[in-house]
Amino acid sequence: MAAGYAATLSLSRPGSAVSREAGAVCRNAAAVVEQRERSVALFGVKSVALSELEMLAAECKEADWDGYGAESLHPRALSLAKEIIRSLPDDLPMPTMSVEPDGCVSLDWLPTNGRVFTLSAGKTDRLPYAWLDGTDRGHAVARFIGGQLPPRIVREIRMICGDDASVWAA
Amino acid sequence: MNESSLQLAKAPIIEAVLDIDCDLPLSVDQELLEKSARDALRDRYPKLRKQSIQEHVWTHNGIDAPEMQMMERPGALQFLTEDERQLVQFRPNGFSFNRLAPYGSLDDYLPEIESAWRLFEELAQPVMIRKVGLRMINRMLLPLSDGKLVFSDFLQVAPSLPATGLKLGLVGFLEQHLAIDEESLNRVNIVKTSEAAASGSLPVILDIDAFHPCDIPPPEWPVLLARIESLRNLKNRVFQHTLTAQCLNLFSPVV
Repeated sequence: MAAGYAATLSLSRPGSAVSREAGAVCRNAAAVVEQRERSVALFGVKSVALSELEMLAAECKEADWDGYGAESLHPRALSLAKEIIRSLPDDLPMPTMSVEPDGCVSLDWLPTNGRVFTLSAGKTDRLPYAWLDGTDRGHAVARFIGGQLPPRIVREIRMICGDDASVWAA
Repeated sequence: MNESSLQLAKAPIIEAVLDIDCDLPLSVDQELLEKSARDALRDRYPKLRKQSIQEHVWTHNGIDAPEMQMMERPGALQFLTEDERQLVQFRPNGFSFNRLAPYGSLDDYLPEIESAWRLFEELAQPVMIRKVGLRMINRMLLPLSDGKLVFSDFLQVAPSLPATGLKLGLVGFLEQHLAIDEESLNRVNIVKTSEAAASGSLPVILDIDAFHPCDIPPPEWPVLLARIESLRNLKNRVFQHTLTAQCLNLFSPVV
């Protein structure tokens, strides 16, 4: 469930309402979001992750950035990756990020050897993800809608990164 | 318990939105969808507005000048009535029906919502419903007295400032509460926010979005209707119990 700043983030995005008043609610919420993003305590870790993403984007903006014919980073993938970072619950660690040869952004959580959660931000709002926990593994696709990471993905990242991963895998 | 007995002659509602968020098949033919929908809705909704979503992405490596890239992708197909006070939206992730003021009662629009939803279902073939939502945006002009307002006269849960001992006056606010009804599992997002005061009154927006997240194939209309009625009841109760009797009197309750 969206709560706190996550709910405000969702409110700050244009939705299906069209009235001027809906726009006023959106703008006021955006001002709260902007205030939050200026805070080091509230947003510092995410701010660093977003800067890292910017550096990656600059490195991979031209095709063949890897010398093996890779596609240039797709702008939609970059903006989606940024939205995912912004929407991560505060108790989750930041992922390691890389650009894939198909121009998508890979967000990876690797808490220990043998435990991996990987998510791909691509050209649409569909997010392919996969996980590995010891000998157990799985993969699926979920949609990123309304600026919120699907609860199923959040739950699985938490499982992989948390102490209760073994319970989940049993 | 239903609590829809309150009727207001001058209801402050600015916009009502019925949203049904869905997953559509990956293979939707946008051009065919647009043409078929336009043909079917032309009589009632002669205007078509095609929304597109633009994204601007700035990248900066810390050395060179920042670079901007712009992307555009299709958004909603908005079918509007001649006076543009009512619209049906076929969105990439669902269906919406919007009614702008003047607004009667949801009962007035339910047949139209059903008809438009059935058309959307036939043409877009949604595979899964993710959320049903009923949102009402109200704009209330609260009268100022000598340029001041006692919020608790109008709002049951009024915004307030800490007692600092200083002459602090509230000049703006945004409050958001997200709640769940433990019986129906409906949720409601309640937002109160102010706009700039003008002409002896303070505009306050009360935005109530009652919704139900779900993961179900599209059900028959009576099932959807029952959910909409349940959301309506929640929305009405929140509205009625957010405002004081003095505030409700501004909107001429029908006895």
